[in-house]
Amino acid sequence: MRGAADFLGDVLALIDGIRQSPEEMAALRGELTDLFEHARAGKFLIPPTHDALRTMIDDAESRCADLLLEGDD
Amino acid sequence: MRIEEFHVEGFGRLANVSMTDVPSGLSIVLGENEAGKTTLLEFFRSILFGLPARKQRDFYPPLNGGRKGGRVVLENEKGERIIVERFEGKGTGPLTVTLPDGSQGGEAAFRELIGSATDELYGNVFAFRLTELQSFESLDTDKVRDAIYSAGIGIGRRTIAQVVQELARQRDELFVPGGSKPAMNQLLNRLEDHGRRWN
Repeated sequence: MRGAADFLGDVLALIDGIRQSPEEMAALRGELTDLFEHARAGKFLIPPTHDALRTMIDDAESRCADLLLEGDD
Repeated sequence: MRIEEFHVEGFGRLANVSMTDVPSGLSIVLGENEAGKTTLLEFFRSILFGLPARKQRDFYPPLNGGRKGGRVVLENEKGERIIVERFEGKGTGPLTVTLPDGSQGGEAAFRELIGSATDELYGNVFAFRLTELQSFESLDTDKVRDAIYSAGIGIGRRTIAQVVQELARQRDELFVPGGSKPAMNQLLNRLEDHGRRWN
């Protein structure tokens, strides 16, 4: 599926690119500031480690793939 | 898969019109108004996906003779030829498909070949008329993106917009800055409550 020439293949390849790019990982971390730097929530949360961020990406990848494949026979 | 060859036996103003060796890549059909460009477009749509089941006689009657219908020769990814023939008749017009190994099939064999492609998908993405193109311009960017990407997915039944909407819904169930109902906002309120009690 990862190398497929369709939208799902593109999504999976894009996610792979994020895993392998320090700049993309930093940008992803920036996307999480709403939560981890939130005035109230930030006091109780520890910013994710690199491994935790990778786990989040794995989860996001599964969610995207499941939703895109849903209804496929 | 691509169209390699076609023969119109009779369809609207087109009669006994053929083309072989249609080049791969982009092909442009030029012609004066009323030359039959849209008729040719409808011919492909009708051969591949069927003539209208109702009022079939009024739909592009063969004005210049010939039996309504014709043949489209497709080339698959392996370079093999698949011959699709349809003529006016019962239902949407009987279809005959000749597969690369010489065996013949009907609608079911053709549906298997084209996978998830439907008449609607073909009409909206590969074979739209000028008026449809003009209406397409009125769609906003998200709808255009959705239409294009949906064509390329080839799997599942959700559109990209629906997937994005569902992901946003799942995100908003977890946490919304300034929210009170999402799961993490409720946990945050409880944590702060406990903190106040202990102090």
